[in-house]
Amino acid sequence: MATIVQLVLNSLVAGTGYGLLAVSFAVVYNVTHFYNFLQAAVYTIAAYIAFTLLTVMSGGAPLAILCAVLGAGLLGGLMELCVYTRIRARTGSPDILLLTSLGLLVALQNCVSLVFGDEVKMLAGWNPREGFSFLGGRITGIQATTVVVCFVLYAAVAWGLRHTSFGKALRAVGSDATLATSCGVNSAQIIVGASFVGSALVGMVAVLAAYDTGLQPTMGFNALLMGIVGMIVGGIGTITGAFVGGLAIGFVQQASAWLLPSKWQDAIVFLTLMLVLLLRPQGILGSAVRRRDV
Amino acid sequence: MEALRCDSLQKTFDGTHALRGVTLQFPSTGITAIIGPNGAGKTTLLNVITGFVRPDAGQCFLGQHVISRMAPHRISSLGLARTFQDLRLIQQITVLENVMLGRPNQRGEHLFYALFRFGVKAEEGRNREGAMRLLQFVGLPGKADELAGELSYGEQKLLTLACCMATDAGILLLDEPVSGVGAEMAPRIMKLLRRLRDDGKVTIFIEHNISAVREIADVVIVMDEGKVIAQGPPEEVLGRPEIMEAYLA
Amino acid sequence: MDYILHIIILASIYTSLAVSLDLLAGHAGILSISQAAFCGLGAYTSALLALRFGLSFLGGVLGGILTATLFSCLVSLPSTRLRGDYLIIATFAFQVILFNILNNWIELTRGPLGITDIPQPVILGLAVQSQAGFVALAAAFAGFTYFVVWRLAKSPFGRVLHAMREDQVLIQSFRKDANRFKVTAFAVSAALAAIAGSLYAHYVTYIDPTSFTVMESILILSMVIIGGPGSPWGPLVGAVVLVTLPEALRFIGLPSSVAANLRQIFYGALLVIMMMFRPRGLVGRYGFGR
Repeated sequence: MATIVQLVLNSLVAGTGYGLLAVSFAVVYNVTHFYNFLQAAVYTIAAYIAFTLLTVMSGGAPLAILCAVLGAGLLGGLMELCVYTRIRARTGSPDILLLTSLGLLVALQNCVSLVFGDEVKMLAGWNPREGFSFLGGRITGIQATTVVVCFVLYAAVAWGLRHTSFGKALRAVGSDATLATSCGVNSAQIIVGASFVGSALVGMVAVLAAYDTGLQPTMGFNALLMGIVGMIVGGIGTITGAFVGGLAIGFVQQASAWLLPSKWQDAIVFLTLMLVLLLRPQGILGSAVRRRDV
Repeated sequence: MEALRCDSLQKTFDGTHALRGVTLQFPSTGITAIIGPNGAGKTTLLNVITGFVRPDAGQCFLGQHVISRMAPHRISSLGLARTFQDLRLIQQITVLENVMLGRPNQRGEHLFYALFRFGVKAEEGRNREGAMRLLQFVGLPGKADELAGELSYGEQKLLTLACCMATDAGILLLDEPVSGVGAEMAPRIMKLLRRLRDDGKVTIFIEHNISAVREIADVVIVMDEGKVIAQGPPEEVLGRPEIMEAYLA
Repeated sequence: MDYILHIIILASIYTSLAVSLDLLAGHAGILSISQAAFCGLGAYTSALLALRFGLSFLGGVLGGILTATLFSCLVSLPSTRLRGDYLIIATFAFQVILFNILNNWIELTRGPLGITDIPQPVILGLAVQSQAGFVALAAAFAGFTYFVVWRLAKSPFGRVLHAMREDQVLIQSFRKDANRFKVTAFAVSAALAAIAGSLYAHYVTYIDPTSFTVMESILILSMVIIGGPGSPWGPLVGAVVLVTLPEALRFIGLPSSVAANLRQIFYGALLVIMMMFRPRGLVGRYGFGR
């Protein structure tokens, strides 16, 4: 029984993190329709902003976290504004945008490597091993915070998309950008705004993960992969789907770590992705795939 | 020519009933036109027949073969060729290469023969000749080496026809072959369709241009709101008041 | 002089990798972020077969080809039933997962410690030991890869690939099974990358997972895109530019770790600039992107 509880706890910790990653990825993807690999660099940079500030000014954790999150958002928004918007004006090709995001990722991540080096670092100020018992299982303070924060932020995003005018504009641009523009929505601005929000959320997950397991320049890749897989498994086009997808793969990952040697857990997650897509191509909560081919 | 028929085809897209129980026996000779107002389901029907869209219910038959859930490339290898409403062509290769794409059974398309060219050169020569003949037939022989993207709209329509014919298909399904082309081009295309009929091809085409339909179709099928509401010779079908009403409604 | 030969060997190996990826990304229009993974598969298979079973170089190469082809099918076959943009995510996932497995399967690969003492190749009785020998081998292989890819590109097979990169729907109406072409192109590309990997392993005699990362895959893709996808000289130009230009940084006297990061920043920035201003690449002709 205790192990089941532990499994559930571990799944929640992993799953809510992946869930929020998937949500942040989905917020941007639903509006821009291309896989923005830059988010891996945003993830990394957010963690390192927190690291820098925590090292420089000891004891300023809330400020450091805030700066990291805002910094991430600004980075995402800036890249959209200065780079992607220009390219999108010339060609709508998702392939070109994807390649651009790869270039940005490589450049930015190596800047981090250059400045900070490649060794694993830890964030000062919060002991990742400090925790408590819960219903027979054990969870650390950081992990518990992660679960709560990720869930709250997901709920906030879901609410915001439905009830704020910005959220409605996001959905409008995502479903038909030209139509939205003709209704008076400034699509370009909305896309920059979405990039800001999505990147800020990525930053939040990054900081929490950095507190938990430390940081290194390559930390973004795994996070990006999980975010994308979570979004696809949950169903493209729905924010709740993305969060559910993240929870699902968090569970799959932890369950497989329990049963199999840990080196296979990513492979199992990917196998899950393939299975879900084969059995239910629209994802868990997605609506039936609209055949736009013909 | 094998008989093409559909039985109770149903298809819904995102809440729109594109096809609501379409049952049709297509004539096995001559030119058949499918007409109907926008949203009647004509293109969906074409897509279902050619395998690009899966029906929710119902079946399609080509002779003995049940084609309703076959992959599009298998259906086309049974002798069905089509054009697309949005005029699909490979813009960045030449006109000739576009037609050669359509040629069936090219051994050079298999990895082994692509690497070790036994007999491929001869086959390419034959296919090139065949493609030039088709370009001659549709009236584009001089454009063989131009990039397909540089042709005029009407010329591109002729090219899609040539590509379609290159597949040696017995049944051609054309989506709006005459729409949008200039006044000089339309009679050219219609003359080609007549020649195809004389050559024994079965042509089924979707059109909005009623005068073209009146001129060359042997049989007219009318669709409205996902159902077939009439089938018969053009003088009979196009004379009926309720058909014209369906268009104006 | 040895240093220059070393650069030539590296440039040749990277050219082979770029050309092999060009078949997929340039001619077929399928972006893949896993070329380094297939290269790594070839390298590790070859090295392990040589060290554990005493297999000859050619035997190791064959083993690498088989492994890579098998895994490429694992990646590409499911895409036949799934949505269009799944494939690039699948290649990314494969790359990340393979790196994790190489890094964590200590019993097989020794993880981060890597595999040492890989024997130098003996081909048909001839031992390749000198730098000059490797230059010949690497250049010959680059030429071979180029020959294979270019022959395929000029054949009817290649014609279908070129059609596929513009419009996957159209060729299906011409009796062509798009999936067969995708899977085949993938397999050839992976096999060629695996051979390059074997070559690399037996040349440097020490391999570890850090040579086969996502960054490396992006780098190889950059060479194709920056040079000019689908063009005869594109991948070669891309590989040569991206291998030799940053070496110039060395001569300015920068420490090697800094140089390594700077050269990647250079690649990344160049890729972004090309995408913004000249997506067809330095010497490419194909109008990339719809």
